[in-house]
Amino acid sequence: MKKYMKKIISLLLVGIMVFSLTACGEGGNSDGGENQETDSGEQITLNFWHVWPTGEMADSVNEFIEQYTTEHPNIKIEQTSAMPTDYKSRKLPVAVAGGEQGDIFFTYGAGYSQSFVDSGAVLPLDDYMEKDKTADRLLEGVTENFIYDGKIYGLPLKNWCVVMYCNSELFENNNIEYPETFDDLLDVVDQFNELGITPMALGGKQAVGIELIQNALAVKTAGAEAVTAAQNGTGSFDTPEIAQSAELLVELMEHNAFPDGVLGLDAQEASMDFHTGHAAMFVTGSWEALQCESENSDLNGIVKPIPFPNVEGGKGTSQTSGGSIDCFMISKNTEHPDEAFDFAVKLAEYLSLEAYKIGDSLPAWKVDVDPSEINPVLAEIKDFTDQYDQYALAWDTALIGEAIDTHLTLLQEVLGGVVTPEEFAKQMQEVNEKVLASE
Amino acid sequence: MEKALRSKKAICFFIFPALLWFLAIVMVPVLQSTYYSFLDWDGFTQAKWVGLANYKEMFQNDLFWLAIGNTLVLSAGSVFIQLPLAMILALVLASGVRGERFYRTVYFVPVLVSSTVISQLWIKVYHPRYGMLNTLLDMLHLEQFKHEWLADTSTALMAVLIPMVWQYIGYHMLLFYSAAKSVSPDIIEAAKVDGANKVQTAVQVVMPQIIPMIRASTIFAVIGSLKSFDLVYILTNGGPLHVTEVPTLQMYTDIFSNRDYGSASSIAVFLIIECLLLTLLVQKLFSKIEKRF
Repeated sequence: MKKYMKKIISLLLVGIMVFSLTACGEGGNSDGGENQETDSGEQITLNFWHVWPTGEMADSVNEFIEQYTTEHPNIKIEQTSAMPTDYKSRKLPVAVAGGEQGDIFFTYGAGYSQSFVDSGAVLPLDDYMEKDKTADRLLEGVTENFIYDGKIYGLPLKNWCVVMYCNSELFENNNIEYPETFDDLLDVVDQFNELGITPMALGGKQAVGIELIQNALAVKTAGAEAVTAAQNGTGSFDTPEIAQSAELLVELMEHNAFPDGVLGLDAQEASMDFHTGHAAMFVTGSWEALQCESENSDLNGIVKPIPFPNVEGGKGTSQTSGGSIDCFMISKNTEHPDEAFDFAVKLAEYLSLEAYKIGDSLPAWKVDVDPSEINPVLAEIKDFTDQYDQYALAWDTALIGEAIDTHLTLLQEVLGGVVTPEEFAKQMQEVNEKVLASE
Repeated sequence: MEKALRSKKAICFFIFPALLWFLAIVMVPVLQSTYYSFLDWDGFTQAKWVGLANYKEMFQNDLFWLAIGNTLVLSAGSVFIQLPLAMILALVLASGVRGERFYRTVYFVPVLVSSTVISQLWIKVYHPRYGMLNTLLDMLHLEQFKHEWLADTSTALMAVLIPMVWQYIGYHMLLFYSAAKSVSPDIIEAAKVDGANKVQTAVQVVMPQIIPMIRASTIFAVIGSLKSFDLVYILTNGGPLHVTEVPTLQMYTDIFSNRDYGSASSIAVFLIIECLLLTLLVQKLFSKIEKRF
């Protein structure tokens, strides 16, 4: 009897194990199967992939989707989202490799999506945009970074530019003037050092913080056109102006502009340094405007954004780092391209406006908005962007392959004094040539 | 029952499902990685066969050798710092002290805590301005020893080694403790009768008995250090200026930044072979030690 029971129990255990394995597999399938129910032949489900799992942007997305599905009762939108860093480096590339990306998906233009377009995963949008007369509603030049081989593949979402955020209290209480040129900046740095205040917040562990400063300097010294030409291979990084941008970065380091142990601090700590009033200036993108007015910052109402200082004799006085790099693309193997495009184009325009209002970014579309609804810091930024006539993208979004990692490594090395500014320029050109040649 | 255990057919039959599982989950990906390591592939577009080119590039890359060197340093730290500390704790606890069960749990807690949490904890400890370490040195009037621990190229690797060692002491301690506890009490009685005190019993009687466990722990410690990723990634991201670079981090950069699956796969294959070789080395070393005892 005992032997019999043992046999039953062991068979039961094996059965449960096998069942749970197959059940897991089926669970996945049945989710996919339910999508395409065609009761009256009209029910459509669109998969939308994006980078706003939570926060104000997520709220805007949900509001829009509700509105849209009420107006189009036959369309259902399924969202998949992840945090930007994870999405950008892991989730999206892996999905596109397997053809699993959403019908509409958020992505970054220029170098980042080059391989997606090359592998045939993305739908060209020229015809759809012509029918829709989208170009009339877009600001000038915002689609440059989404054109591959002469065709447009992305719908722009927002615009960004580099900004120098200043703690107005620290400046005004100490009678220090806001810097307009690089030499002014060095003066200001020295003055803050004498007062024992960290002049510029910076996290060097993930070189992206250093990159924003050096890239902005490069545009100021060499001009946006030269930088863009260097990025796409028609020009060169190995020029005295680009070397100068690295030299100026080193000068800032020598004047002790950055906190102690900058190469070991990460971006979050840098942000904290500024928002808790420990650092007087913070160079980062226009997206920080959102943070400045949020509850995470002690500086609500006292942040003054100023344009990145010009370099005397530089070619980029009316230009800066920035551009339109965030976009929506449509998957080539979508079953409903017309509906997907309609959703994407309307959402892009809507989010462009909403993001502008909450201070996340500058708009890429022509928007009409009551100034009182806009985040005050961003409104100031928008004002001074009127003086810019050209932008150059951040190098880590414009370059491809190992050129990106080499750029970030070189930035840390030049800041740490391991590499000279001339070598910086030369090695950037070498790696970029290598990468572009193997394309 | 014994007939069943002896029959070779029965043995094969019982092992077969596990073997199948092992092949599918372990061997197949290894073979796939080996295949990818001969390609020039970005994950999307057509792959190009390049033979041993990835390996050539890898061996000529100074950064790669630096990374391997770093993992060997971390391994040495694990074996020569972590294991002795774990052994001391295990022997003390196994010899019967008050609060044995309590201390056992407490020492094991770091093993359970996620690596991300440990990394963030130690980042705050090492912070140059308000971190616990520098503040403590200030209080003890030892300011000259203050460093920017994670940002200084001379201290960064040691700064990464310490949380790594700290995290798994409890794990090895538990292994040694259970081995020590399973030593036959007769031997310990005999030693007591012979007049051995607690220290002598522990070192000369118990330790030789648990050499097989020490060997297993050494292998785990060495392989774990060779593969270390999470702590290094969060604490220093391989920096500053690549002094704490490890091969797994290079693999990560290769795939997610450089989109070079071929290069990353060649690093993976190298790590597999390295782990196998070092395991064999440790086994050989220990068989010599075991012969002596």
